[in-house]
Amino acid sequence: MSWSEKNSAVLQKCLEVREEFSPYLDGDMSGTAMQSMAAHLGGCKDCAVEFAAWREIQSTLGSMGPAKAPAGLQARLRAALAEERERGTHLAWDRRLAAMWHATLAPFAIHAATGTVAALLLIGGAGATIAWFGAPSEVQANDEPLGAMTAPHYLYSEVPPQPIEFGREAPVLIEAKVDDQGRVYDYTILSGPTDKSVQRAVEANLLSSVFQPATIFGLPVAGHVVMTYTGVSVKG
Amino acid sequence: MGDLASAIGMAAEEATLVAELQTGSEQAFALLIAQYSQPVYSMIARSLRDPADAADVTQEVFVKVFRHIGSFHGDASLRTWIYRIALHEVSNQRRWWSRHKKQELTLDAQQENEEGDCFCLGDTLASNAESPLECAEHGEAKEQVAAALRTIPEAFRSVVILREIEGFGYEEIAEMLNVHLGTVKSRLTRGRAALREALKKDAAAQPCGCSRVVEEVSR
Repeated sequence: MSWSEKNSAVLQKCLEVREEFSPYLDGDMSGTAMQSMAAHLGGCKDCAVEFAAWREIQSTLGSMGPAKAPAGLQARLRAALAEERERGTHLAWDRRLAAMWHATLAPFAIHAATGTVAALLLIGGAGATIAWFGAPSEVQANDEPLGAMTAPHYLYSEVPPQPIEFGREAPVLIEAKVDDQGRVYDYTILSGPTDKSVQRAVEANLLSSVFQPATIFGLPVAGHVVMTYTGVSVKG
Repeated sequence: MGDLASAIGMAAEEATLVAELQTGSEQAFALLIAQYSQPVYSMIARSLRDPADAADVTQEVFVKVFRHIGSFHGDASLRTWIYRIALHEVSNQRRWWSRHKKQELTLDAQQENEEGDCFCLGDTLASNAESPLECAEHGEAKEQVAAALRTIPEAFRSVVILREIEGFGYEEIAEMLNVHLGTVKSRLTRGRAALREALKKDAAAQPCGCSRVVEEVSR
């Protein structure tokens, strides 16, 4: 083997050894390989220097320790996560949508639903009111017709009616005022003879007459009635 | 046996917490925030190009946890699930940053030239020499590594941060990133190598020679 060949073989061995520096630093090689490495480093100054540099770098890296976090980093992180929690970003999309619904649209939906129900009640109530009070109700059998008014109606005479006689034959038209007890309390001769005798005969008949009083809404009230006396005999 | 009982107890406890979270319980989320806000913020701050955006991104992560906790079925642990969301948000934020905020340059921000070399705009100005004190302050190993970490590709950076800073195991990282275990190991190897290269370039670009990490390990 020539000198150059020998030198080349040594360099090749050095390159192979240097490829194993990294696992050697970590002790990640077999015991035999470690012994071989130690033997080479013991006899090769260049590789020993190079390995010392690698070990120094490793030592320096190991001694660097953690980069100190700025003061308040933890508080900042908690605040950031509180914001995320508020937005529900940790939830699955369906739960997130539900959360968004509850946080934003649900209150409006409650208001809208309440408003709709209120509107329906209002419209329905108005309709019912119109239907109830607006439509004519059926008249019941025992109802008095609205606004019913009846005139006095002659029933009978307490004594036999006295004949009215005067000089000529003519009907006597009388307007009699009847109280709520059905008795005549005034009268007026509208047409016909107005003699004293006729007046006395008319008064005698009216005073003994009993009427069914006039009524308004079924209640007896004073009223008036127009009566005609016919068949009046005429003397002579 | 004790470990198993402990694991079962923790799982039951987490199941209870998850059930509470799924109801949107304020108390449960307060507990979750107390437990996870700091580590999640830290991971985000280490991952973003501009750590000033970390609080906003953390808030976005917890908002997404809140919104999607209902779809958490316990296929992974709650922590894994939260980190998965956080990593996704970081990725989104970095894409947004590339499109928008990259325009807002500052003199101190790390820039990349056409050859892929990192430099600061301030370095291109006259009289940029730093005082020994400034050099010592700015050349702190942790700051250098943190700055270099922001320059490596996102796929590698996430794994390096989760493994080296947050201390997660390969399996959990694989679950968080939804990749195979082999991919995690591969990305971790590439990420460590990329970080080493970034620090080498950084050391070469520093005129005051204050890149302590590289200097120390090169001796």
